[in-house]
Amino acid sequence: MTTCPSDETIAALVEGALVEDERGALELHIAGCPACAAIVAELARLVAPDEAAAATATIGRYELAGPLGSGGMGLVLEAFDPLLARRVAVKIVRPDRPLARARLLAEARGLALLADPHILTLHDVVDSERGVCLVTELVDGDPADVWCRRTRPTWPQVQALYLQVARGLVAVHARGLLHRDVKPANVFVGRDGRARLGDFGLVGDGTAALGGTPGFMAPEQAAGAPIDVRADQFGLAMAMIHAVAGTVVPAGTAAAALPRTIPAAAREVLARAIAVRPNDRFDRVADLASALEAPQRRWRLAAAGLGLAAIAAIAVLAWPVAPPVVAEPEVVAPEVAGADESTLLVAWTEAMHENDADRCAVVVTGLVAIDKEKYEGHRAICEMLAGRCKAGVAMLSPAVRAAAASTVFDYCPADGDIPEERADRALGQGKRGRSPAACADRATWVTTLAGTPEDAEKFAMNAIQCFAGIGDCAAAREQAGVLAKLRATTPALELARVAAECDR
Amino acid sequence: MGAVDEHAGDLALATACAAGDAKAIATFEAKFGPVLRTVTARFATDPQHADELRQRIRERLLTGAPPRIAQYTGRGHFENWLRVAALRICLNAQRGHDPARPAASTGGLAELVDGGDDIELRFLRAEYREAFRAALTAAVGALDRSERAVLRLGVVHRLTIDQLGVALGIHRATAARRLARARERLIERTIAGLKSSLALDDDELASLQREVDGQVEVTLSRLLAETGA
Ligand SMILES: [Zn+2]
Repeated sequence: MTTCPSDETIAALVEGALVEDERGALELHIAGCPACAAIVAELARLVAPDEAAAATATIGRYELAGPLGSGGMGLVLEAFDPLLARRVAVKIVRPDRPLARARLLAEARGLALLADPHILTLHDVVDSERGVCLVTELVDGDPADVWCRRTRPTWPQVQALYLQVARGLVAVHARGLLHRDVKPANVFVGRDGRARLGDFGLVGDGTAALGGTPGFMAPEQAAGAPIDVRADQFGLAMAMIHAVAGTVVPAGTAAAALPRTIPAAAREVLARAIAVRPNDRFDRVADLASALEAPQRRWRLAAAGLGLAAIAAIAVLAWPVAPPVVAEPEVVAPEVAGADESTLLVAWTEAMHENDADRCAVVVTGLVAIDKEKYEGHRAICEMLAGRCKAGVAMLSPAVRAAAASTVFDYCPADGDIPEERADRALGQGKRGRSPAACADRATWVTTLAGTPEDAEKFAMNAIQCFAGIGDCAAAREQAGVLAKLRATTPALELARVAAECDR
Repeated sequence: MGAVDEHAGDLALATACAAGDAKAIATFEAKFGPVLRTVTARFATDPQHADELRQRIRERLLTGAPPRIAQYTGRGHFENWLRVAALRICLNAQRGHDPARPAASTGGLAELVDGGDDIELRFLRAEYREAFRAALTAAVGALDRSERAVLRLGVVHRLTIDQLGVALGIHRATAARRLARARERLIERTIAGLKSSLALDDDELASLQREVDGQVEVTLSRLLAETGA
């Protein structure tokens, strides 16, 4: 048996601070040394995030629902934000790791500076006794590596996806920041087809040599040399190659050696972006994107007359010279690709009945692809359902807006006749589906629809927020009584919740 | 990279403690007393025993020439170094104290298979039990070291998947996959061993296989856990 590792080596193991060789050697030692195995096991028990506690607890106002995954940096949980009635993702750093804590704060700082449709939105940062928690949007979808394995995308799909990521990166770079760890696992593909770049743990100013991911990391970064935007460009191009090849290729691989599934022109572009020397790459990510997109422009002309779906697909490929202002690319979500109009309409209606904004957004991509003009209003309503009332209303043509007045009021009371101040609050907080009738509906769901006690609680809470949102504090308090009974807590506790939201 | 810089404060504290600086030792107590308490709580349920353990840890860490705390070099987080050192001291104390708990000191996985209670094996007809035990022992013996490490932590020490990920310094999904694969292979080999030693016909084998499939993991967990720390 090898000699036992030092205390520091064992501590470094659970801190994730060992290089792979050291880690492997220690693992083999544990296999044959019960004493060290016992120490490692006990240490892991002491420092691992407590899932059981995490699953039932709250952090700040967020009610933790369950783990989404656990990276090297910490635990990621799904959570519910009762104030805004939306699902979010909460990333908790392992409390024992000061370096990770520093990185998490760096991530928060980096994200807070960015507001871009292709960057994961940071909602909140909570400093709790369990550590620093980043509250971000919860992407209903998959990381790009999983998405690739599942959908086996064609090159145009891969390019469409990563051109969105490129836009996000351009925004990052415009802030003087670097991402440093561009790879498929850090790209989240929503069911709405929108890609967001996340996991900004390594955002920095180009001086601190923090690690990226082998294979996707530019050679200069791996060597610990200073890096600039061209290192992110390398990761982006490698991620695109990985998406079609299923594997990375060595830095400096020639165009001719790249997978044949990539068109020749794009192979040339990618080969330049993964050059060993940064000077041999493009200067900026935007240049890489334009170069990839150049052949697509010709294709767009050739494709004129292929129908709206094709145009929608092409719209994604179009790389605007200036950053996009409002126009979000239109992509048919994979789940509804090929579905016929009546199936989609049924699904859309179901989504409306279930108040399911995410499903609504998915289904409507199919409808809009079938008839953009006819279904633009449907999309607007999905926006409102998701709490983006102003965006939704803006999508409606003036004629439709008049006809849809009652719908607008249902989802956006702010555009109805309630006081301005409260309307602003409702809008600002993204509250959805608020009208006296809608709130009363929610109150009845507590008894009629809820299948489980948890559902009942959620509906009751939702009703409280709904009534509070429209200013009916008496009804909100009544619901607080219902909730207190469901939870077997004192009404005072739930009334405090109402007070926080309503009586201010 | 600034790992040492980052822990410079703790390193300075440890150095001062090693030099016997009373003020530093008081700071150490105030700052890291809670860490020691969480460690000793895993080994002692009654407060007096826990106090004794903490006293023992203090002695080992802060006295001697040079005191053990001098071994901290600032490479990682001091709290984790302290946990490892304290765990070692507690585990040694436990071995001295309680020789009836040998697993932490001597156990190979194979020996854990022996001496188990036959209750778990009632599902097997009597003539199969010896064969089952032998097949399982052989299967455990045939594990490679990395399978052994993952089973030792996951089955003997009963770590959760998240804890297993931390213990091996790998992602929880990887930890889950590796644990599952090691278990599967153990079961496969056990069945293969039974097949060769019992000369069963196809029907008997199929029926035994169903029983083993359903039971071997539970049986193994119990057999291993009985002597686990
Ligand atoms: Zn050892």
